[in-house]
Amino acid sequence: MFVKATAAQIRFLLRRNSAIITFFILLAMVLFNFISNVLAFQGKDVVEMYHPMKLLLLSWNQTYLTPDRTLNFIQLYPLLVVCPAGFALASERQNGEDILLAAKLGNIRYRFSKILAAFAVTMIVFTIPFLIEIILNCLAFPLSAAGDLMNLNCYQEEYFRITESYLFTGLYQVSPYIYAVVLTLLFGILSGILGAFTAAVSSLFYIKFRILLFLPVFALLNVTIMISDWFHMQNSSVSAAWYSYFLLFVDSKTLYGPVFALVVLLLILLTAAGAYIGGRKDCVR
Amino acid sequence: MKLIAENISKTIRGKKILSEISLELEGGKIYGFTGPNGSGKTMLFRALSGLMSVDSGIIRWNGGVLRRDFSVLPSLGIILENVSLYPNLTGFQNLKYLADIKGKIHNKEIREALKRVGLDPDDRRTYRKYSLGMKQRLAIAQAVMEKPDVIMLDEPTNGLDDEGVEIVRRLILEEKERGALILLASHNSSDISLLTDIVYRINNGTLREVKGKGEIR
Amino acid sequence: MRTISSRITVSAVTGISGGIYLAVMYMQPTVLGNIGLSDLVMRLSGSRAPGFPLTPVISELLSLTLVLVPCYVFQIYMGIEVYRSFCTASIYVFSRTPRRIRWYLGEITSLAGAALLFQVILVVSASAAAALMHPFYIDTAGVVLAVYHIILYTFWLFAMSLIINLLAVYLGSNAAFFVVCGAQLVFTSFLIFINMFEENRPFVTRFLNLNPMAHLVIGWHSSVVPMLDKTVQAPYEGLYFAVSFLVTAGTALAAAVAGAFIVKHHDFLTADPEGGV
Repeated sequence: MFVKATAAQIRFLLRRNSAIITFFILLAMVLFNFISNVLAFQGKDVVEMYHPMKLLLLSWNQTYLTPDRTLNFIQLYPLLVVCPAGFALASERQNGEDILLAAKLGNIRYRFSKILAAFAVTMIVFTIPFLIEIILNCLAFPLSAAGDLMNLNCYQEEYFRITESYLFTGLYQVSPYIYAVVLTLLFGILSGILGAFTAAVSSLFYIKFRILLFLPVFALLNVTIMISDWFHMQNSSVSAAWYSYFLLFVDSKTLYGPVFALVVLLLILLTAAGAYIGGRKDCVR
Repeated sequence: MKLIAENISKTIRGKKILSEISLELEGGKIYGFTGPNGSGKTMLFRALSGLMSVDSGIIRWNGGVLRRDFSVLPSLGIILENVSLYPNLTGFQNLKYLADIKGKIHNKEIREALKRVGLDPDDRRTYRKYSLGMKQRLAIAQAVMEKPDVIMLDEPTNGLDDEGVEIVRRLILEEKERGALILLASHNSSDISLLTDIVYRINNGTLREVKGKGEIR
Repeated sequence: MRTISSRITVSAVTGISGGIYLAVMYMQPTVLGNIGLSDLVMRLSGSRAPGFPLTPVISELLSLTLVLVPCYVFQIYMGIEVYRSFCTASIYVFSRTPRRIRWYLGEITSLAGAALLFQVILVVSASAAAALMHPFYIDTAGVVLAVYHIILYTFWLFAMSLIINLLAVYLGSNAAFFVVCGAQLVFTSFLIFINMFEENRPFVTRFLNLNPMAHLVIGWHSSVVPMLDKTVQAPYEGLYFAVSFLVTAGTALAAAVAGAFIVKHHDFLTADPEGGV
């Protein structure tokens, strides 16, 4: 029954305006990036072309040539990631539907299934447009192009050093295409966790005005940039900024993978705790 | 005191909610409004109070024009369905907040209003913890506490026990004696037959006067 | 339930915590070991140090967003202050409000006051925190720049908060914030075009005047007052304080007028646009 309930909620949330509009905003950004790249590079010889995966919207490498699109995405991401499903639980608590669903499922099961559904829907919305872009880039650009937007060639020492600092560098060395797909899926999963986290916050606290639900993720992601800035002030090359872990081909700083994994685990535990503690409360309004 | 509506109409998303309704209502009387669900009773109250504009026609109150000379009727008490109060405040605190908007009444009148509807002014429970009947009584208290000239009551006896129904009926008659113009929408035929002077029936946004209470179904 | 005192509290708390955060994160002393008020004010809109104004590159524009986080938090809280009245008990509130415009003018006056209080407290807190951490001096240009900063940001915050409130009546608070905050973030990222087209001076001048977020960067402004011009040392030509005052004040006025129209003509068809019962 839990699985059926979760599946039903996923179907329901995917049909909501918030998920559909967010999906189309992301798709529009992705298509704008793709079309801009096609127009910029049409007619270029394959030896002059950049690697198709390095032209993705999620590619940090692209910021060396056209930073505006990726910067735009980074700025909007803390707002966008909450939109598909982060408000779902708060809405239902406001209009009383949560009582009806809790009556069928039990309060704890309801909360968990809602938060799981929020994770799934956010993940779907934040994966599909970027996978579409990967396919489009593979169709539009020559697969044998190998250029890097930092204008390094693959025989330079610096290039080796930089690619070794990528997250999952082994995967990149096997195939940049597989690397791009896997990291896009990872990006979707991380986005799903943030969506679920927002829903978990609304499970713990009754939120009358949904605007306040932007705060947790907005604060969390900006705090990571603040911590990164603070590290730089201490002359450290470590990056704590969220985009260093979410984006592809992030090269400029040393990344603390294990710490990042720990933070993600903590987030998942907090989300689960939010669902459980919220579910233990009395279902009164 | 007269509330006059002249040929008022309202269309929302292509559906005619109110269709050329004309009314002339006087103070000191109770007007009943009946009709099936979705017939337009609540929308009529919204229009007559000024909470909703009309596409055509005009509404006058004591010579002034509604939505031109004033946004809402200057002295109005209203209950509409599905409107709640502040969940974290007590009944008294909720009424105090509303009373402070106009500043016409003070604690004494608020306490009186609560007692009139059978609620305890010193009850420390918050609105969130009220039963449906208590919420309804509080809504009625807020409608009458400032002794308004016009009182619009949409299903006032909804959710009330027998004692509550009696209290509310007595209160409505007292307000009529005071000279208030009272509009009462109800599915409860006893309310209509016992309380009202004139009854209107609304169906699909059109209004007709039902002469004699025996025709109410 | 919000009253004037709770708006004051929110403005004060956000202002103090925002000021302290900005001082700790961004107010490092200069090579001379001290920090002046003019330098502090310019750092409140992205400058890194005297002679190092905000450069529109990706890292610094992200830092600019961080510097403006206290302002965005203010917008989140104040973006529902007027809208609240359209939610719970809206019918009961507005049935007691025959003169909606008068009520509205009271609300926006309070909102403007909160924005002003927040900015004053932010600047004062940042200065106090900086003074506690490093040698701090107050220069004449700094006082003038502080006043300019407060005026510009008050108008901007008032306008954005009011627009969120007004949009929320139709879209709900979350969608309204997404639109308004999203627009600000998009315009912030568009500032990168200044760097990309730096050689094209006429374009840069036009772009600076057309991009609303550029008007908030004190370090990019030129001034007819020689003292200020010498202190700010704007890297780009053509963006003047007078124009920025006009733009931000004009936006605030337009929002206020649009709001009056909306409030006057609003039909109460749903009990609670935020979705409650």
